[in-house]
Amino acid sequence: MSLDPGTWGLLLALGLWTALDQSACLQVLVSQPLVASWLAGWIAGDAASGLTIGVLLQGVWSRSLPLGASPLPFLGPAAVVGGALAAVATGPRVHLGPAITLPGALPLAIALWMSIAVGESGRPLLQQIYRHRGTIVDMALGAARDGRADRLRIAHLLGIVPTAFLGMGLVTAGLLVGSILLRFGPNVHADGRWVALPVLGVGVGQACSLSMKRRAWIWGAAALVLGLAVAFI
Amino acid sequence: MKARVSRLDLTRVAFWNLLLQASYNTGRRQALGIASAMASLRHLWPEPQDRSAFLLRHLEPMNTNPAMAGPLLGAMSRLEERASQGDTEAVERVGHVRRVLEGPLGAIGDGLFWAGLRPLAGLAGSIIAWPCGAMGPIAFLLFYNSIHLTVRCGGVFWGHAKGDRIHELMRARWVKLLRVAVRWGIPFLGLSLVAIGASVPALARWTVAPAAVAGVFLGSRSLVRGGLLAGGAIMVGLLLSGIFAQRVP
Repeated sequence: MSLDPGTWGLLLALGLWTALDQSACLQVLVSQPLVASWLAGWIAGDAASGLTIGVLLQGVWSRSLPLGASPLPFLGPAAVVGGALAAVATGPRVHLGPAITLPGALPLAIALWMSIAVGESGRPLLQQIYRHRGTIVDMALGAARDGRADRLRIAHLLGIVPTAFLGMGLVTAGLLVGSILLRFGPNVHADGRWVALPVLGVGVGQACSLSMKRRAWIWGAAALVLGLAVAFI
Repeated sequence: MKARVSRLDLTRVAFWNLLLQASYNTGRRQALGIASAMASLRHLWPEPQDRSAFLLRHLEPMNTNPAMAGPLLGAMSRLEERASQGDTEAVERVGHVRRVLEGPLGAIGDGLFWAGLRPLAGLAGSIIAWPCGAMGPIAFLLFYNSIHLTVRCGGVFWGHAKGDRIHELMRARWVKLLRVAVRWGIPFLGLSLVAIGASVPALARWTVAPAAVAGVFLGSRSLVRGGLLAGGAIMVGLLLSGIFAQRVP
C-alpha cells in the first residue's frame, strides 16, 4: 500500500475539517464516522471500504456524547484514519452488501484499531487544549474592556489553531503507524466478516442502549431472537 | 433615532453561532463564542463605556447545547435592543435569562440532538448505505442538519421574536414529536441493522446478535466505553476467523 503526496494532502485537509467540525466550527457532523470514513476512503481510492469502517464506527461511538462538556473521543481524525487505511489495505475483499466491501480480517482489524487508538488518544489531548486557553481568554477580556469587538473575535478564532494542529497531527501519526502495520503484518487473508459483524453488533447495541435504558433486556433479547431467526432462515 | 436590531444583524449573530465553540475552554466555556456572536449588535451601544459593559456581560461563563444557543442568542438580542432603547430592567434580564435557561436548554438539546437525532440519523444512514452506498452518508447529513441548522440558525430569529419567552421552546410540539421518534426509531432501526448484519451469508452471522446483546447490556449500564468494547469485539472476531477461516465459503 502507498499514498501519494496529493492523497496525503487531501487526507490531512479532511482531518483538519473533521477536527474542527466535531466541536469548534459548524458541527454539521461531517466529523461523524459514517461521513468522514466514507470521504477518506473515497480520497484514498476505495469509497466502499471506507464506508464499511464508517458504518461500524458510527455505532461504536454512538454513546460518546458531549453531555455537560464531558470529553469526547476525537471522532473526525479517527474516522479519517480508519477509512483511509481500509481503502489502501491490500488483499482480497468481500462484498458485505451491494455497496459495502470489506478488506480481510487482519487489515480490517488494523484499520479499526488505529481508528480507535487515534480517537481515544485525542480525548485527553482535547481536554488539555480546553484547559490551557487562559491566554486567549485574557486577550478577549482585555479587548472587551477596551470595547474592541474585532479583537475579541480574533481572540475567539485563535482558539481553533491548536485543535486544527492536533487533528492533522493525529491523522498523520495514525496513517503512518497504520501503514507500517499493514505493510509488515502477517500475510493472511481470513474473511473480514468475522471481525466486522461482531463490531457491527456492538455498535447497534451501543446505539440502542441510548433510548431504552430501563428496558434494555427486552430489546437485547429481541436483537438476539431476531438475529438468530434471520441466521436460521 | 433609536437603534434597532435588523435581520442582517440577526443573520450575523446566526453565522457567529456556527463558530460558537471555537475557543471553548474549561473556565468560561462558550463565553467567547457568545460574546463574538453578540458583538454583531455592537452598534446598539455607541458609547465606549456602554460597549465595554455590553461585551463584558456576554463574557460571563456559559454552557449550553450549541444548537439551542440559537434561540438563547435571539432572546438576548431582543433584550439588548430593549436595553439600548432605555429599558433599564432589560440589562438585568439578559443575565437572568441566560443563567436560568442555559441549563434546561442544554439538557433538552443534548438529549434531542446528541443522544437522539444523531444516533437515529446514524442508524438510518447505515441502513441506507448497505444497499445504496454514498446515499447513506448523504441522507445522514441531510436528515440531521435539516433539524439542527433550522434550530441553530433559525432559532436566532425565533428567539428574537419571542424575547424572554423562549422557555416555550421546551413545550413545543416538534420537540415532543422528535422525542417519540427517537425513542421508538432507534430500537426499530437498530433491530433492522441487526437483521441485515445477521443475514450476511457466512458463519460470522452468528456473532452479530450476541455482540448486539452485549453492546446493549454493557452500554446501557455504562460499564465499558464503546471503543474498548469494539476493541474486544475485534479480538474475538480475529480469534474466530483464525479458528473457522477454513469453513468460510
